[in-house]
Amino acid sequence: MPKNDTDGKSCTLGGYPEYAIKVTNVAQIQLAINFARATNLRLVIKNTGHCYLGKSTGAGALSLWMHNMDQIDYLPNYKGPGYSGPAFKVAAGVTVRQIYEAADKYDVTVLGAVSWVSNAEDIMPDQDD
Amino acid sequence: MAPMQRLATCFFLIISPGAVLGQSSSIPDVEPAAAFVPATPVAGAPLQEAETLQLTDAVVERLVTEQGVSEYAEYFAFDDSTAASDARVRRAASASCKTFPGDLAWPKEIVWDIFNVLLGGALIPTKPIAASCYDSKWGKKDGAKCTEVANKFTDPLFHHADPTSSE
Repeated sequence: MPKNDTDGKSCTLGGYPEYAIKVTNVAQIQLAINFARATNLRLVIKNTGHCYLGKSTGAGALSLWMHNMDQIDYLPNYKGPGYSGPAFKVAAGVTVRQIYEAADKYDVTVLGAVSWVSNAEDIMPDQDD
Repeated sequence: MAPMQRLATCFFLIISPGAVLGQSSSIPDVEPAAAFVPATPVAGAPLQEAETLQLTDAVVERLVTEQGVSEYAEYFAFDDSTAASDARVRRAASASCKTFPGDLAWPKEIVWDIFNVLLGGALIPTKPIAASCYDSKWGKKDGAKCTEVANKFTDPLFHHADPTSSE
């Protein structure tokens, strides 16, 4: 039975991944996916915040830590199927707070979801984080 | 001149053990597995800087010829690369459970070391965020650090900045 380990003598990682990769480019992501496929490792993704379903962590896993992928590009004249106009291209580690600040800077609107659980709580709800 | 020489000798003696340890003979000294690609737009948007460094077929082929890495290239190849091991891919795809630490199939230390080199040193073994509060395999208890962790624990940004911690 699990018990409170107050002296730390039998500390284990529990539900945390074994390794994380501090991702700063796409090559690292490709390499990690190839490695996880070849070795049948559990692969999880932690963007910046958390995932309500717990998918941003995992016992025995290799984790892609996307926090430092924080580039925000403003595309004033984006043209895509079904939409033309101003758009943002946002890297995976960007938080709702950061994209709101960018939207304010360019005087446009972005619809995000923010839970003010604490002073600076903000997540991108449409990602596993 | 003599004192200077002695100083230089001392300095050399001090740094050399670290240098030897850092450059373990078994870990090959190779470039990260990445190549710059042209920043041509994808889906109507320019590539971001982080997207211009990619693992290309040419890079995978380079791994196959790289001394100290070639025998491990199958770990890092695309599934349709000639460097991929069909047996390995079949075995992984048919397994009913994921490979877990302690399993026979768990990658050996040298494989993790090479993986780290190919990632440009970006691989971080997990250290629990509150490890400083206990004597454990992650080190001795550190009262000051532990107090800092306790004080920041309800701040989500503290956990955002940690590779594996969750709020």
